[in-house]
Amino acid sequence: MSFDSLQEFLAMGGHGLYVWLSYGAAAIIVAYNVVSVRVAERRFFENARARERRQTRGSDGPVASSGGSRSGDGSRDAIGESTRS
Amino acid sequence: MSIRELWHRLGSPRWFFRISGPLATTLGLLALALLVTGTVWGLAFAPPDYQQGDSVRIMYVHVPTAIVAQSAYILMGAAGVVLLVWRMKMADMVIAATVPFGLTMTALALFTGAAWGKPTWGAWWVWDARTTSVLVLLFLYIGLYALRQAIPRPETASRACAVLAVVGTINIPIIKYSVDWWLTLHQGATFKLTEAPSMPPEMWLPLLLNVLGVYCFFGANLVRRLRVEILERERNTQWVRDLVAGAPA
Amino acid sequence: MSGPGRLFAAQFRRELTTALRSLQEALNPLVFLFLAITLFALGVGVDPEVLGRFAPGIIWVLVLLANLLALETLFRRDYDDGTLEQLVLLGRPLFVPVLAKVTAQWCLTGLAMTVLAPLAALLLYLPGEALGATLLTLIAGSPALTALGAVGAALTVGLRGGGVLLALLILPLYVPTLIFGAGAITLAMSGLEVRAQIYLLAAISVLSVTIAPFAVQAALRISLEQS
Repeated sequence: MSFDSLQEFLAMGGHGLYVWLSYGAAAIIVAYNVVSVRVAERRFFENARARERRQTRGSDGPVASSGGSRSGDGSRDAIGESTRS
Repeated sequence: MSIRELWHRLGSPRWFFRISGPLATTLGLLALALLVTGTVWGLAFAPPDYQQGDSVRIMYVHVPTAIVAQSAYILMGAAGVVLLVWRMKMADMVIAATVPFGLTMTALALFTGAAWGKPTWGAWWVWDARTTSVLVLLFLYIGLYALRQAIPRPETASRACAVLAVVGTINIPIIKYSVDWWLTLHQGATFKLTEAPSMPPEMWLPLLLNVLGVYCFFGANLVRRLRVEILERERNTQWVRDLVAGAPA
Repeated sequence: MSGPGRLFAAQFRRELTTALRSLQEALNPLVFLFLAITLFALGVGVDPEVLGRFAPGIIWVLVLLANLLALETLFRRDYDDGTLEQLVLLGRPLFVPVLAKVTAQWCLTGLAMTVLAPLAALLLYLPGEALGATLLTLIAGSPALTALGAVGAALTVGLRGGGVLLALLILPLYVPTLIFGAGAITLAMSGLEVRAQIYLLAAISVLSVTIAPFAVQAALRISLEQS
């Protein structure tokens, strides 16, 4: 340990401002890179689900049975995927 | 799996998506361990520099980010060559996924360079060879980003970026050499921030940990961005729709 | 004359003919060069000592910018009237036609600016002993400017607001040429040997002119497929 107390550690021998500015900026940039991917991922799934709902509802209209069969297809594929993986 | 087989498989986004989940997690955990160890070591345990005092601790964040920012650009150049020669789908996604990371890391390298320069040289900005090269690199990244934003179709945008990244990568060594020469001409600051040979192991070991850590972080981030990019591009295929249907809400 | 040679000559002649038909457009970058020199003199002041010391940098920066302005029209006319699309649709390698286009463009910008450089040097009080170095750096360095710029012009040809974007893409790539060009003139002003810098500029130009046509070809194909 090259510091004796917490105060000394924070002061960084008088250069505290510059050292902590650098590490703070680094924390922000790292956090941005982590969070932005998560947000993009979540947004993709939300959009995809909305798209899926729109499509099933769109074909649901006059002929109810066609919408039913389509959602049936979807569920079969979902099962297929889960057994495959 | 032979190299040749791996090369062919890399052409399939679906295959990459299936195997890359654990890869991203592993790299992410590795990055976390390395960066935490290196940063705590560098901040609290490494000795201060006999000339610069404790401000030398900025080195443990400045040097790794500057290195990874340059590597990211060179990776894009390599991906650009792969895309233009073999028309591999994944290559243009690599370019698309690298731009935001590289841009933010270059900005961070410049900022920490300025914060290091103030106590060391007495000015926030000094036209030293390394900071000037990083500044030019930042403009190269901004150009790539702007070109990507200007072209509406994502596939076209990343192929255009591939051409630019290849030309830029060929130029990077020339730019570095010319900036070095320019500095000797104008007799700027002669005091270099980092002098590798004279550095004791208590200083270069944490630096090495952080360099390795930031590379792992780059890898993890790249893979995760690639996965989102793959989903976006392949959103109309059956396997992605199945995945969406199967994912927990 | 062999096939590629004839193709080059035909394309080159065509470029120069169409450029000279709209002479004003071809002259605009040169007018800009001298207009900006005037602005510099007005802004910096006319102390011969000061202006002369800045002259190498001013000349080279303005040559870069004038080149940049000229690049906007490099593919624009051919893009608007469909010639470019025909050229790409032929499916043949575009190396020779692109090289001819770049060469013609260089004659109208880099070469013309080198010819006019003594006048610029006169206006900026550049010391006489540096005039030779100025001409040599310009003639050795300017082909790189046109070749690299053509890549940017090809990438932005179909885009709205392409002008500023072009500057953003290309100016960072001009850094080495600017450094060695302006640096060599500065050295020559203090009577030093500048042959190494001229060779370096020529090497950068040779590299750029060799590689750029391939990049331009790829860029044109990409730019045209989106429209």
